[in-house]
Amino acid sequence: MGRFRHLVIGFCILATILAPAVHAQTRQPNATLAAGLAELNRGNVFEAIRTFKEIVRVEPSSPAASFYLSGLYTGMGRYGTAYSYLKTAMKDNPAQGAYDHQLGLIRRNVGCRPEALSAFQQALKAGMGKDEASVWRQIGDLQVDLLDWDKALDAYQNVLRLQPNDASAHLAIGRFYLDRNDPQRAVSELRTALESAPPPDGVYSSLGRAYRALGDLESAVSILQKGVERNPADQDSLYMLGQVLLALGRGKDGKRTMDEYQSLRDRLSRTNSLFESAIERAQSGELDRSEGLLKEALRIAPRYAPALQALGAVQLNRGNTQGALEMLKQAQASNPLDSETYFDMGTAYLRSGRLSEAMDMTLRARTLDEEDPRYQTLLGEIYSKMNKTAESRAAFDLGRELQSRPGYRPADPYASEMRHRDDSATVKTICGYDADK
Amino acid sequence: MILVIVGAAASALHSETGFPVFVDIAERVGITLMNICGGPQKDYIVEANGNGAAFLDYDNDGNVDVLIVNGSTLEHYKKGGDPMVALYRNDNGHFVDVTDSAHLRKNGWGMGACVADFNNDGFPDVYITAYGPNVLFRNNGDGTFTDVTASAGVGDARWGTGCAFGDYDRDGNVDLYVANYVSFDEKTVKPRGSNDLCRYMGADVFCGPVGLPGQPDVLYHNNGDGTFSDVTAKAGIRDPNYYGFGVVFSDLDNDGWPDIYVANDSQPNLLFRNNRNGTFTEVGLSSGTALNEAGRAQSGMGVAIGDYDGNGLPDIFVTNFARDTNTLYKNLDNMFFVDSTVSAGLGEISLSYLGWGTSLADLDNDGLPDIFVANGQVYPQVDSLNVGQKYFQRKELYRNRGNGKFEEIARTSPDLLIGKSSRGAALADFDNDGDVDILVVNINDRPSFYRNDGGNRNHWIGFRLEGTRSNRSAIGARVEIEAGGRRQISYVLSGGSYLSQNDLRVHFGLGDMTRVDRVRIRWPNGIAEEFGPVEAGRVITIKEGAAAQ
Repeated sequence: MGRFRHLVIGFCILATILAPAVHAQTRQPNATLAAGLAELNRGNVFEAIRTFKEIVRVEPSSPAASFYLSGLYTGMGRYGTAYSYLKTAMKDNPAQGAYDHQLGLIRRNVGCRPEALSAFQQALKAGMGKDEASVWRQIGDLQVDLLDWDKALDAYQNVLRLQPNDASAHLAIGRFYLDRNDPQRAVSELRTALESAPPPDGVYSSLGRAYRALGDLESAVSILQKGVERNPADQDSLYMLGQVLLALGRGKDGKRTMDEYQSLRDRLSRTNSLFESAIERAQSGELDRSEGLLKEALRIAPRYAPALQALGAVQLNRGNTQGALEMLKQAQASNPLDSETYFDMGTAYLRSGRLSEAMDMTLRARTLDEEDPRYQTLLGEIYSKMNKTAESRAAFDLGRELQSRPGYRPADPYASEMRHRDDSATVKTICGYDADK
Repeated sequence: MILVIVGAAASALHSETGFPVFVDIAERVGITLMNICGGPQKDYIVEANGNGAAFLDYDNDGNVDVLIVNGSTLEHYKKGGDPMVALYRNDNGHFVDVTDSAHLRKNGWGMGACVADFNNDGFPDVYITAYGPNVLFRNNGDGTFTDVTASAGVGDARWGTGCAFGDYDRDGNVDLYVANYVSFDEKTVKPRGSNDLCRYMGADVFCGPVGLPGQPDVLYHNNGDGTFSDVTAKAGIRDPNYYGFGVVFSDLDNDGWPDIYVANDSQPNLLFRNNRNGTFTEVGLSSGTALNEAGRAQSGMGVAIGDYDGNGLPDIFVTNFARDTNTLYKNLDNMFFVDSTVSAGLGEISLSYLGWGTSLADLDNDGLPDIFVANGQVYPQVDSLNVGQKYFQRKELYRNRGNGKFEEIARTSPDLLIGKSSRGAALADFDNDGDVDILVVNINDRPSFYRNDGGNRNHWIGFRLEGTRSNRSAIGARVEIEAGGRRQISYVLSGGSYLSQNDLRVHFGLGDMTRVDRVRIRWPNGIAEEFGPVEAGRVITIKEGAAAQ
């Protein structure tokens, strides 16, 4: 749930800041929109998506709902879908800073940094109101990526001009000084970042590095220990702590810390390796072996949603409907925005004869991804079992139509994480590239 | 006119800095092999990593010769590939292609080379890594070589990259470590841009290495009878299928037993500490050399060994991918290192470049090892992006200031600023004039051969070591000199850089010292010999157990 909590918090802020600007452009009766935002504020991202999609269904050009959907799909890593909602939002009135900001975020996520930078700069021109600092922060990060340090520093300083206590900007500037071999100034910036509540990710390890660079190894140990106490999974702080302890000649403590670090890395690496092997086995039809590997991966990382979903899918295909449902419910709890999990649950409920649950889950899958023909086909099967012939036929027809669309590729049932990666043409469109670039 | 101005500016810079100028003389001296390594678009990873080169005196005439490894194309490879190597004989400064007469004509997809006298017959042999079976060429001592891969048992068919010889068990026979990269099959690897892992900054680029299965490295023990045995598992070489590139045997803890360091692409680097009983323990993480200072795995390409701070211990320099720094690991003793990249002034500049071949060598003979880095992007597609990088990149040249810091000084040599997509780099004093020259392999292009003009204004001394009880090439020998109260160390090393091999002779710059007061050699078998004083300005041949000749 961690990454979705992040997404929800981000959108609560975005909703508060940007809503007035977007609402001004919409003819929408805002009761439903407000309901969607309320769901977001409550952390019910799926319900918010459903509500915004309902608005879009009634009024396809709705800029506000499309804008929020764009943001939500960006958070889900589905940039092609996010971009297409953004284009809809921008249709009537493209000259809004919020839209350019959103475009910048999508572009940055697909990797085209100069084009993202241009969108953020356009956002500033169009006006970002109270959210100007967050645009400058994005610009700073992009300038770092583009290796233009002085412009990055300018951007971060603009953030601090607008929000003097912005911890992320202090952290970024601290790291900048650290990389420029100025640990004294780095310490000052990083200490300021540390004082914010909560401190930004990475501040403990950076401050530890800065103290180490200053030769103040005891302070480095102290701050790094705090970082590890606060978050035992903070790999960077743990590594740095081990190294500093060894440098201090505290061999036993250093070795123990490095062993902990190694063990943490091994666990992550082992989980990934087991998961990848399991997917390969499943794809080659060795479901028995795949199930074993997935169970082993889940023993190490019990809440790893992709493994839970894949195990559910494998068990489903091995005929273990009940076991599959158990896994899929856990997968859904860990990641409530994976359409494939809902699709598998729909299939499992259908096989168990629980038609209303099957319908509910399949509709959820379709809400999240309206272009997957398998979801329509499953709906057709459920309607058929419910003796709703017309609905069933319509669903089957739509499924066939979706399947015949150019560029359709059958989905891999075991690798749902990979399903929504954008193809090259989509990335080029998002980035505004010429087709041959 | 422009050239004249550039030349004048370089000359002015030289007089300002005193640093030698490097002039590309490749064409002039006859080193003109056009590198083949895939097509211009680099659709697949196998086309992008390029090749290395080696300096070796194959005919023992005192002039180091040049061997350049060559790749192939996917189309040619289906028909057996292209000639894997070209050998150029050094005829007093001019090079003659003797590949055919040396019986080195063999087709395939070559990658890199390392050199040692594996059968102790007095003539250096050559191991060639390849995408496909690697090849061992035995030097017959008559100007020809014989492919003895099958009988020696070293024809690893995986994708070999870096290799290095070293006598890890000190039995007098050099053993062989080969780094392997990824499992690549054109039929199964997805085309450019097919998913997120096949894009760089929004552009469609080749897939890999991330997302492709890695291949484990291999250690061969030299049985002393012309054959080798794969002792990887027995010796405790546990490579978790990392994407191996640069490799070097070096006694990093100064205990007289060679350790092994491997730079891995996109994965932590590996350091195998020699347990002195035929086995190794991997200590990369605890030694601080697996990751950078921030605890991040980088994309290791090439590796150089040298004592940059004069503390008598070998430091490690690793070249990495663009938008990441190259990394200098300072040796603090007891197999513990600290990432000193930023404090040494090597951080920020290197971010714009993708580093490959490299060396820590005293290029201005002032007694301090400098750093050379050959650069080049792997993605030609970056040229269409405005991201501060180009496919063709200049070299980096760092002058050692002697206070733990380096100064980037490539501007003194206009030829080093010419953009190429470079890969391997090997160093040697090819013209025996007392300063070290640099050969660079450029992908899909002719090589660059940078003659060092002016390094020999300072004094120097060289050593050619010959083992008797130790391995004949003396690989692993540690040479310590003392001149004017100042001590320096260096090693006879095989491998290192990127897919390349430097001259096995050891070179020291002496500044204004005309004499070396004391020379101490610790031979690969652990026995030390000491002698001196010796006059500077020459290469001295030293046979193990005998006085300097």
